[in-house]
Amino acid sequence: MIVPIVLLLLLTFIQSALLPFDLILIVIIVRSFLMNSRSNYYLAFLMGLLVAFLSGQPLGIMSIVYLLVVKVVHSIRLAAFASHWSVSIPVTFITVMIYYLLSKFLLGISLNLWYVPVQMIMVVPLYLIIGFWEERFIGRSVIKLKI
Amino acid sequence: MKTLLLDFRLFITLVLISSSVLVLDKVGWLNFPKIVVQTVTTPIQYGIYESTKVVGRQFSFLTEARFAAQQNVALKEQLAGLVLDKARIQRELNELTALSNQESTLLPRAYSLIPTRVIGVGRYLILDHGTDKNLQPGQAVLYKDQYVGVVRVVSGNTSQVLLPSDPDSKLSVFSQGEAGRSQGILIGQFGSEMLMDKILHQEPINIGDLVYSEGLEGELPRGLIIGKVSQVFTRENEVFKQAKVEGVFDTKNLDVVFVMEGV
Repeated sequence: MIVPIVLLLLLTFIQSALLPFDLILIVIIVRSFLMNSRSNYYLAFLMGLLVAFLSGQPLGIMSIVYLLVVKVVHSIRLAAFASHWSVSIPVTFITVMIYYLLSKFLLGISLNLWYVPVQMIMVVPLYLIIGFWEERFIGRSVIKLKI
Repeated sequence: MKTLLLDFRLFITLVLISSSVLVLDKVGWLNFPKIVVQTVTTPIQYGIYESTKVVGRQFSFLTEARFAAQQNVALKEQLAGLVLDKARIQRELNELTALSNQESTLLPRAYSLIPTRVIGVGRYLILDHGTDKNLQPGQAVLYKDQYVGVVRVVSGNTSQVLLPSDPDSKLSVFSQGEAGRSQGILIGQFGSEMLMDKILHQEPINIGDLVYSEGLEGELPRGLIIGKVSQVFTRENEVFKQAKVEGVFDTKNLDVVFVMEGV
């Protein structure tokens, strides 16, 4: 859990200084799609606070948006058709659009459709990187069968 | 089922905590801790922003070499024209100076400006001052008498600037060229471009004309340079003309900008 937090912290600083779109959102979507874990909620909450703080938005607002996004992705992930990795692309599209609509209502920021394809393209490499990391480097608790 | 219920409970708890934080921030109770934390985060943001600029400059020659060669030829032609213009303007200036010596002249405009450092640029420009320097939403941001944007959101030690290229930005402007003056509304487009709309057909506007602020918004003085006309769209069947406007400098290369305290 420490490594994702450190990487997300670094990404948040880079995003706030350079990027015109929300990269943290994509990482959170992909991670939520890959792992139906409660840690996604904590990450969404913490990163939401940091993103809002660094970009000068009211604290807490981005946490609510990210938490809703995680909830939506987890809900879609429960469906049987959502097991294939390619489903992550339309899921990202849906959640990015929800994110933009929430930003429009909560922050009064207009919809920027130009960045949607960029964010969609980033899903595949991020999916592979996060998937590889979670599969190879994160330990899981041992499953014991009762005989 | 039990896991789903636990997840939902966690989700609701975190949303409630976020809402509480939001309320506390809106009330202003978090201003002091925010300022304390910003003393650490602002230098990091500035460092990342500056480092990227340095790296970008190192590699920019790769993309700009071909463009620079074409630009060099065009500039030589322009230079030849400018030498002729300079001689004519010098003569006219001498005549005007003689005339103005006999008239009372107006004082040059002076604005009270607050210098701030740029610490990030994404969709908005992020500045390293906020309520600590008494910045307020709606204040104009300038760079060498040129319009950069308007302060959108202010927090403890940072503030966001809405750029004129942002689609949320709408300004009343006028263009000034050799053919004359035309008025319109400047609307941001995504990217670095702006669209000057609602120009009457009878008003002259040409490529290269400079675009200035009209000063009707209240927070902006009249006459700040906003950009240059790069393309004019004229359709006879439409009531108004449009023109594409590009900024006169690259927003991504700014180090210091100035916030105007009042018009």
